Order: sequence, then C-alpha cells, then structure tokens
Amino acid sequence: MSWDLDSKRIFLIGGPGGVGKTTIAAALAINLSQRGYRTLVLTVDPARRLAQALGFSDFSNTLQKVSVPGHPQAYLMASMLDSEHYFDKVIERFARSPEQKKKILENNLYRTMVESLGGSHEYAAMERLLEFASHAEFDKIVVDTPPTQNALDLFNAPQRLANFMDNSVLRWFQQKGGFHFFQRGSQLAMKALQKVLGSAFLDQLALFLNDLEGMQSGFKARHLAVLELFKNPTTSFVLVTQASEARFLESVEFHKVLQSEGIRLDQLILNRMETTAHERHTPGLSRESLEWITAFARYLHELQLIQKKWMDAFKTALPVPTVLIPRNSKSLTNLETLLELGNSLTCSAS
Amino acid sequence: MTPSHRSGTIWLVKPRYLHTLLEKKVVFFTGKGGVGKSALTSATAVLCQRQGKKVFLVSWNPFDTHARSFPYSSLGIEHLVLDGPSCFKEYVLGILKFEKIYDLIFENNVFQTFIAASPGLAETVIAGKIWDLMDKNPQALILVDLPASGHAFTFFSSPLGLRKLFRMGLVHREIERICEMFLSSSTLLNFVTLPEELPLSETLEFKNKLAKLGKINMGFFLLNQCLPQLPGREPVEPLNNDDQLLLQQYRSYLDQELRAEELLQSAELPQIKLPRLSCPEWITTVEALSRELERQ
Repeated sequence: MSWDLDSKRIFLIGGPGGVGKTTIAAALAINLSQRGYRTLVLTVDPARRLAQALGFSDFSNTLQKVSVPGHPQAYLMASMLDSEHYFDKVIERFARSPEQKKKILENNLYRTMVESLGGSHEYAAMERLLEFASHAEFDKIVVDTPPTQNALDLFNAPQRLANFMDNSVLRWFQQKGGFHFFQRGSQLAMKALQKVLGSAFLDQLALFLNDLEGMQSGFKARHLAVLELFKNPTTSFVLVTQASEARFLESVEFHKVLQSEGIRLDQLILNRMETTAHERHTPGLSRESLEWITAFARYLHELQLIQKKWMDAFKTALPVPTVLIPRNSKSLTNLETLLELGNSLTCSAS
Repeated sequence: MTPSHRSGTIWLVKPRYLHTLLEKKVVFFTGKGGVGKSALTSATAVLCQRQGKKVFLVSWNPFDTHARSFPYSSLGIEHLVLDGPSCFKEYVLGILKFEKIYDLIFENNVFQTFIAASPGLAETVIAGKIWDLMDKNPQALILVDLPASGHAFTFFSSPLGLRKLFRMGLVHREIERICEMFLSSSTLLNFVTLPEELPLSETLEFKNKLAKLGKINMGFFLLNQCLPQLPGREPVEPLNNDDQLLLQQYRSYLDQELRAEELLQSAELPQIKLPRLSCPEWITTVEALSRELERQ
C-alpha cells in the first residue's frame, strides 16, 4: 500500500525533538513538488546547513523559492518561522487601535514573554499555517512542527495565550471595577501577591493585561480554527520517530494526546534504521582484520536487534502504515540527498 | 603530562570529568531531545554517588518514564521531578505559612491558569527550588536534567530577564539569588550532543546564545553515541562485497565523527566521546555510561 499523497493537502510532520523531522519535511516537500504539485514547506529554525540546502540566504519569514535540481518545472516555496517577529505581527493583527498596539509592543512584560514564553514557536507555526491554508496558490503544504516537550503544546498554544488574557484573569487584576469573585479572598490575594511578587511587577502586569483587553476572542477563534484544520480529512498527521525505547515511550504519549484531541494518525516514519550486518566474511583475512570486522558486524547486528524489538512494539501500539528510513551516514544537507530521501519516503510505504 | 591540543585551546592538563564535577554544587545538562541527555545525567549521578557524594538528580519531564522507573533510591540518589505549579505553591507557602490561605487564594482556575501561562514564572520557581536545595545541602551535588534546548534557554533567560521587571519584593531577592547561582563558579553547564552535523551545530548555536546572557560557567561537551573501540585492526586487504559495505559504513560514520570534532573546535570546551552502546535496556545503558565517564 503506498502513501496516499494525492488526496491530502496538508501534511503535519510531528514527533519528538531530534528525530529528523525537519529533514523529512523538506524531503517530502521536494518529492511533492517533483510530482507537479505547487508545494509550500513551513519549517522551524532548521540547522544552518539544511537552510542553505533549501536556498535560504537569510533567516526570515518571507517565502523563498527553492529550485529542485533536475526538475525545472517543480514549484516549491519554503518559509522559515521566526517566532519572535511573528508575535509582533499577531499583536498588530488583533490590536484594536494603533495605541493599543504600541503600548503592548513596548511593554517590558510582553518583550520578556516573547523571548521566553514556552509555546511561542508552536503558536507562530500554527498562525503561519492558518494563514497559508486559505491560499489557493498551494496544492500541498508540508509543516515541520516545532519540537515540543509535550504534544499538547502544539494544539493548545493559541488557547493558552487566550487563557493568559482571559477575561476573568483580567478582571482579577483590574482594581477599578472591583473583584467579581470572592471579594474578601481577592483582596487578601492581592496583598499576598504584592508580598510575593512585589508591587512593581503587579502594576506592570495589570497594565499589560489591561492593554490586551479585547484581544482574547481573536486568539480563541484561532485555536478553534487550528483544531478544525487538524481534523480536516485532507490533513495528514505524520509521526516521525525512531525505533528505540525512549522514542517509543515518547511516541505513545504523543499519540495519546492526538487521540484525545480527535486527530487521526495517518503515517508513521521510523527514521535512522540500522542496515548492513552479515556473517559471510571475506576468506583468508588476517586474524586482526577478521577480529575487527566481526566485532563491527556484531555491533551493528546488536543495534539492529534492539531496533527490531522496538519496531515490533510500534507495530502493536500504533498500527498505522509505516515507512522505514535507513540511517544515512551521508550528511542530509544537500538537495540531491533530500531528493533520494523523498523517493524512499513515498515509495517504500508498507 | 603532555599538553593535548583540543578545541583550539591548549589544555596543559585536560580537565578530568569526575574530578571537575565533584568540586561543583550544581551541574546542568542540556542538549537537544534524543541525544541521551537523561541517560548521561543519570550516569553522572551514579558515578558521583559511587564516590560517596550525596547526589540529587532533578528533572521535570512528567513523561520521562525512565526517570520514574530507574531505581535511584536504592542507589542512594535522591530523585526529584519538579513542576512549575507545585514549586510555586511551595515557594508561596514559605512566605504565607498557612496552607488554608494559599488554597483560598491560589487554588482556583484563574490563578492556576495564570501560573501556567505566565512568562518564565514556572522556570523561575523551579530554579528557585534548585537554589533552595543547594542552600540546604551545601555538601551535595545537584545534577539537573534540563528540558530540550528551547525550554532550557527559557530556564536561563527568564530569571536573567525577569531581573529587569522585579525591582523589589521577595521575588526580586529570589531572582537575584538565582542569577547568582547561574553565574557562580560552583555551577557548571554541560552540553550533550551527537557526532552529527545538524544536532551539533544547533547545540553550538545554543551555547553562543546562552553565552550572551551572562557568564555562565560552561563545562564539558559530551559527544554521545560515537563509534565503539573495536578490537584488532581495520582491514587493509581486498574484501568481498559485504565486508566492503561494512567498511564503507564504518568510514562514513567515522568521517561524520571527525567533522563533528572539527566543528567542536570552535566551542573551546573539553570534549568527551562516549560510545553508542548496544544495551537493550535503559538501566544497563546508564550503568555502562557511568563506567565510561569514570575513565574520562
């Protein structure tokens, strides 16, 4: 059974960090563009060499054309996510007045938040996806999702932001209108908070939350739109992982989150599978050479056995079509290798 | 001892891993996901504990099934899994003294949401808890298994950034202490990475980004999953196809490792190479890695 690439439009490439998601996403996008689809790949902070391979000269949010060697007709655009500046644009979009925008962008707390808020990458990625999903210009969109500590971050980033500026939190910090839930408790809480956090911080926070007022409905709407897009039948969720104990446990957790959100897993990719191990060695080797080569073959064989064990565990726990990608000792940072990888991705589905 | 030229820096005596660590109070481990960070933190804990050191191992991934199943306590290692909301509670309780007041004020959805979503608050209270642990156990070694790079950056940048926001109050004092801990000479930051170009260059970029935050004391580059030492000698005679393929594979992995070491030259930190182990279970991997680290 081959991977049904034609009926899907959006490919979400997810999985634990460090399994090669970005490379897989790039390879899949190249393959789709070779097939004649106008393709867009959204990628998160790729390593410099991969960015260069894709033709990124500067690291910005702008769309850049990637030329696919040997396929002059292929239409492939790539965009890299820059969460910091992206946030400013989001504020610009939802702000109700230029004054509100200015106040927020200049707020110390906001700057700290953008620099440090966990989930800002996730938010930027989802924002960008929503923006492009409505463009008819692209037949296929491949999204390299940010590595998340917890898969939930990916889906809930807009929701969390909305929560942060939720009306009730706002009201809680706004001294003017009085408190709307347990009066005495709130005053006590304010005092306690002042003691703990210091009044300077609380003033800043109150100002910040006040500035954000009215923007939360926009964020909530985005959250719903993201979920809807994820559940769309033309969206394909692809889990990239590795056949090892740690990766297996992480992937099972990841899958649980997908299930609880009602998102179907379409495809599993097990990356960096060990290959080549055999026992028919060259006859007549010197003792030392034979010792060396049998030791190396045994080592590879042991690695293979471990991978086999976890591959079987995957089969039982996540029974979806699976592609195995051999561990490539070549550096996956040039377009030719990405082309090859793209072919093996889409041809060897089992 | 002969001088060894490493990482562009001349180490008259290359710092010994165990020796260096035993002199510290807090050691952070950082690296991209999947590079064996948890295994190396645990292996270091096992190693230092064997030397008679009181060891605390701190992690905060609630999904870290290994950390939960590893028999730390039977080895005499105290394992703590920290999370933002409970650290916050502990911290505030230390000030308010009365749990009832805390529950009344903070145990509601609004405030819980506030803690979860507040920029850097969770990271800061966790760092505060580590400071506390250090303060109460001056003889102990605290090993911290940081979350993957992005979140680890938040961990260091939040207190150093929040410093600007809190100019008074108890939090101000707390943050000052945390920053002091981060910049102290008895604190060390180790980087765990693989001998592959992509994770390695990312780790290097991360290191440079961190260096801009302040003078954090950086320790070792742990290059995990390198080729093992093989007995005998690499064959020089003509080989059959299968063996030829094996040799090619070995050489391409070796090339990768050499490129990695070359890239690491710019890091100016001592490197430690650890072999990729073919242990089927995590527990045996940790034990074997602790023996490897002991030799360094």
